[in-house]
Amino acid sequence: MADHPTTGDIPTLRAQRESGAQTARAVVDRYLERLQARRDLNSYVLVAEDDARTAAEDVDAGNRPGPLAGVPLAIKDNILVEGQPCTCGSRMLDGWVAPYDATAVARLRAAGAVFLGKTNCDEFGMGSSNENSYFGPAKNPIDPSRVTGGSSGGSAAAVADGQAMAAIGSDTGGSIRLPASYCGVIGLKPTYGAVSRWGLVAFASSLDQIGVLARTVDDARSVFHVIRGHDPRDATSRTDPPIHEETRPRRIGLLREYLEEGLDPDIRAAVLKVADALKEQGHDIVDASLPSARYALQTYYIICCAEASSNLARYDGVKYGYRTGNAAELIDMFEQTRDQGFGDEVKRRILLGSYVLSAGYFDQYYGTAQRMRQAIISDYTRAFVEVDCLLTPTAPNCAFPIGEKLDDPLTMYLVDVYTTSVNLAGLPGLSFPCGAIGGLPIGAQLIGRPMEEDLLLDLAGQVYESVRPTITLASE
Amino acid sequence: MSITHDEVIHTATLARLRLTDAELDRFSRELARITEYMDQLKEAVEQLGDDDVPAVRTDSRMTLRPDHIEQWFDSSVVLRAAPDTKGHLFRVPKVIG
Repeated sequence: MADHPTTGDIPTLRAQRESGAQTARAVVDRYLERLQARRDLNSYVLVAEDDARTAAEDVDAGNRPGPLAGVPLAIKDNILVEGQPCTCGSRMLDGWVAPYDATAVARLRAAGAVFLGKTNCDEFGMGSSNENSYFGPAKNPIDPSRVTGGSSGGSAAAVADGQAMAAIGSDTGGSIRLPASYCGVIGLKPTYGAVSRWGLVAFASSLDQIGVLARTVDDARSVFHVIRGHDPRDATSRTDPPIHEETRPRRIGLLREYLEEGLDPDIRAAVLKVADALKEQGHDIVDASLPSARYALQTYYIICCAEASSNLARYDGVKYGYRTGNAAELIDMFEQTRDQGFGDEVKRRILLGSYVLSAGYFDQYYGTAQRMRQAIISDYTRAFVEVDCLLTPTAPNCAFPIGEKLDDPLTMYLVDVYTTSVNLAGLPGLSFPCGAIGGLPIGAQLIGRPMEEDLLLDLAGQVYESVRPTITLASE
Repeated sequence: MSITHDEVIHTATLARLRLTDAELDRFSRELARITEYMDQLKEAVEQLGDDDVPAVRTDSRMTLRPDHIEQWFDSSVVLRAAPDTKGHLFRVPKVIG
């Protein structure tokens, strides 16, 4: 008997396919049927039915063996899949077709994975709710009146809702972990440089990282192990090997600054329950502190906007993408194209970024943020002398109603308060569901030393079954 | 010191963004609040000790690939994505009025 798309996992799929119990084509058909039935959730901006069926038939013909043979995956629409449109959730790239595969996509393809389509996201990855998409917000499959979190909202919703077995997203300040938390799935943001950024459309290049969303810890690990590794096409890709030592008792720090005043008591209790579960597994739970962490959000928004204003200068209506139809002169064409092609949040961040880099303000904002970034890195380095990893909430709240924070950008930025320091320091972070408030999932976050993703996955795997909430999807 | 309305107009020009008056008003209000929030950082950084701020970034690493020619796209693939072309060139509206 075939699994329902919402419950299947990679090892079961592999066993069933290898035993002849079901074909890759049948699995892919079932997922396509599911995602078509759930189109109202707006998880996908493109469904690649024909490509997916052809790829699955290739798996069944024995032409695509590999660790992910026949595994139906979703790809965030800011990551290139050759021959498929890549919009980044923006009018600016509506209709643009990717001429090559991102390295992560090429590795998944070589491992036998089947791509179902491209998932909805905040425009160019800029947002915490997936409401900043040219194609409208993705809706939370647990309660469609609520946001998915962002920016990889479509990927998280697709995985939670059984519209994909796992998905690829990107995380610049929490864009994998936050939607994972809001939709009740696992989200892994790897070490900066662990996964190649080749073929990921740039938002903030010193922070962007491709990662994984999945329903089980093992599935997240399987997909991550395929996409990681050095790539000469990304100069920031790391050449050192991943660290994975034997299982042994670890010291886990409860990060004081992320559990203090203002935090919802139910969220604090859920995170402390994870600490208790880890203790029962033989690990030491200790107090830990990152004094500079309280300034991570300001630091993050200065640096990411500065980098975005530079990266998005390329969208000028000349080489690719949207161009206005009614400009007589070049500068006029640039300005009208960018005004019509970009949405509000992208314009806001380009303005902020241009401002903090402009003459007279560079030292006050950008220079100051770079100094604080170093202080945050130093704090983490000191903390990791005492502990092997840190435990925090992923977000200060659960999924909020669509539209609630849309008119208040600063309040929207505050939902990233526990995730951004991890990107500033280039560390791996893992979010997993650890409780619920009124049926809405709560996420716990483990933060590790560089290249120690496997430790985070091991620890989450040890406690996941005991802390995971029961999540009920909205009915079809 | 938060961003002023005039600074938003100047910054939009630098960023090649043509904003409507309504957009300018709204962005000015929003960005003033955001930059005020960002201003908290300056005071915090002044209180940092020297050992908090290493002179050299310890985490940065760049590995440049070998400097050799690699076969990549034919120029026609790149040009196909452009809004307007002529032969092997991108075509744009007139540059000098």
